[in-house]
Amino acid sequence: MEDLKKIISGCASGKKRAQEQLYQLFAPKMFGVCLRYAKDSTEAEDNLQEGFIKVFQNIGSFRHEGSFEGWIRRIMVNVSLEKFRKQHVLHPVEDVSIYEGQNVSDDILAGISAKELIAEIQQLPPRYRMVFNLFVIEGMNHQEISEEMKITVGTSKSNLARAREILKRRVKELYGDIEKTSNYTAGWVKN
Amino acid sequence: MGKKLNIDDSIREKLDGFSAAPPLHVWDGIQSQLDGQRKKRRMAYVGWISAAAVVLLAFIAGWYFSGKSVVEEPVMVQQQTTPESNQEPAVSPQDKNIEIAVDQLAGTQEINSNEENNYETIADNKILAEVELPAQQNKSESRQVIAARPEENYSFLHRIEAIFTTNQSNVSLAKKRNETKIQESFTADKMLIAANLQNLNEQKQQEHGWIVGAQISPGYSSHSASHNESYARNMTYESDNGGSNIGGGISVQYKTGKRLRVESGIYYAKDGQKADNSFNLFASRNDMLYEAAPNASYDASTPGFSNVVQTGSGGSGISMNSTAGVIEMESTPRGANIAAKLESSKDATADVLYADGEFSQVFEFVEVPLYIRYSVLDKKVGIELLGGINAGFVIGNNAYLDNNYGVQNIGSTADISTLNFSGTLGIGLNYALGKHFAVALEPRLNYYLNSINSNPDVDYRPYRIGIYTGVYYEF
Repeated sequence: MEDLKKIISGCASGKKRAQEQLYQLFAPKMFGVCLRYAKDSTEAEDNLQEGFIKVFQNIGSFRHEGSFEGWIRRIMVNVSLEKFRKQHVLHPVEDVSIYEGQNVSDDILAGISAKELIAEIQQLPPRYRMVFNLFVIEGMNHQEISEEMKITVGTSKSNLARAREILKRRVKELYGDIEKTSNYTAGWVKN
Repeated sequence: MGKKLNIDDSIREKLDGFSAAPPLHVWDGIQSQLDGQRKKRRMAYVGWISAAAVVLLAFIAGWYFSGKSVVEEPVMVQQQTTPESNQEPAVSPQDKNIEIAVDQLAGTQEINSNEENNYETIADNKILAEVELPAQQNKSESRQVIAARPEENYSFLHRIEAIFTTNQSNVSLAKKRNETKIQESFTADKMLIAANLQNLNEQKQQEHGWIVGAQISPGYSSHSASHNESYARNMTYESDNGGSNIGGGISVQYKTGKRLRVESGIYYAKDGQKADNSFNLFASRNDMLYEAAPNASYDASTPGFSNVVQTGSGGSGISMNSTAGVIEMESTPRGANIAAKLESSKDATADVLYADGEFSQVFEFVEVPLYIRYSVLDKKVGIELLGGINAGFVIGNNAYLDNNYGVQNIGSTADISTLNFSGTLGIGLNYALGKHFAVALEPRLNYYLNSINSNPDVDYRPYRIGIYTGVYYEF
């Protein structure tokens, strides 16, 4: 912890060595964050780069009050959202009240690697991807998401529902068959 | 609903701690971007410091000159430069304006020529860059490629010109050169070849080479002086601590690298001091009442001159202590009177010389410099720092009295060393006019490191602030 403080203050005074250390510490995890928000790894790399530039530029304003990882992660999410806002004008709101419920067992999910799951998330339409990430992973509620993304709460909800459905269908299509024989019944039992 | 949340949780668990090693080029991109920002900041500092230094120097020079123009009466025939000194404070700020305006103009020219000549090639390069990086992994790299190209492209026309002109055996090509021809040959291959050739040419041209220059320098000269007590007791009083004059010369520079140059040359400079020892300032009024000769135009309100002198010392003439040394006169100057100083019984040869008017001493130097120049900014507008030493040869040493009879050469100052050394510091601002010519404005301070008077009683070191204005030609 002391080390991290030292690294942070080194970065604040513009020391290259400290910047590199900080990058080594956080880049893999933050790349994971960026990958979830981006449509592909190139966009994620861009966002990671842009995010770290922002981190180094603003690290002097970090007051050691909250979690540093939370702070840096917030910057990455913000960069991703900013990119989304620039790239995507608002899509017309779809009515998603009637989506057929897909049953996906936990066990199917358990059999999928994080990488595969991220690949599926990246395939989601941009706004669904954003809402899904903010709600499921960052733990924001719909009110917060609606403010963050300048959409209505209803849109946020429907986007999330739609994202879930698409993901479930995709997961089922791609991985469900393999797991069917061994885990399908177990899944039913569980639920 | 419960099931949905369950899935959310599973997904969160899976993804929350997920990490993946980003490719190495991301860090490289971050570093180069941060370095770029650092460099920009540093350049901004250098720019501001240089600008501040120039403004400060110009201000100091202007302050000296303006102060001088109030005090000085145009009394010396030799000093024909009084009008220049009056113009000086007005000239330097104007020059600065011109510099700035020209700078801006240069900037827009660069941009224009970029757009006109290279729009298509930039686009080409972009495509090339993207093809080279099919995974689109390196947006930052491709951006750098795009950013780097316009600089190369900008000077393309110049490069073509340079290749043709340096290639002197190919005179016919140089004659054929025209805009349309060059436009036609705008293919990527030719450009690359031209760029490579030009890089070679430029390296040769920039790394080593000769530059000659000619400068003229309106300047302000003064001195620092100290004397031992017995000498100072009988010394003239300075009326004016400095004077304006004009100098100049030619210089030769040799480039030893991209930024460093060694310079020598030959310069002419003038330095002097004046003395109008008025009744009120130095010799007491009572002294004069006792000692005034019948014809003396004694009037406390009229500036006049009186000082103790030695007559017949060393078998010749009259000698008088001045700031720069002992002035030796062969005979009593016209319009001046010598009175016996009756009180100083200790010294039989002590007399008082008095006259209306002003004494002055003028020294002329030929200086051979050895300077190092360091180029801080080497663009269309360049900034250089220079410093070094000069060997200063005294080629003129005269003393004058200016009174009702005009300016008389009354003798010279004794014990002046022929060879002296001075140090110089300066800042050069130059503006390139084409490939070979540049105009320059260089405020310089030149300070004598040794006393130019070898008399142990006198320590007299002239200094000079000059605004060296001139042209340079680079081979």
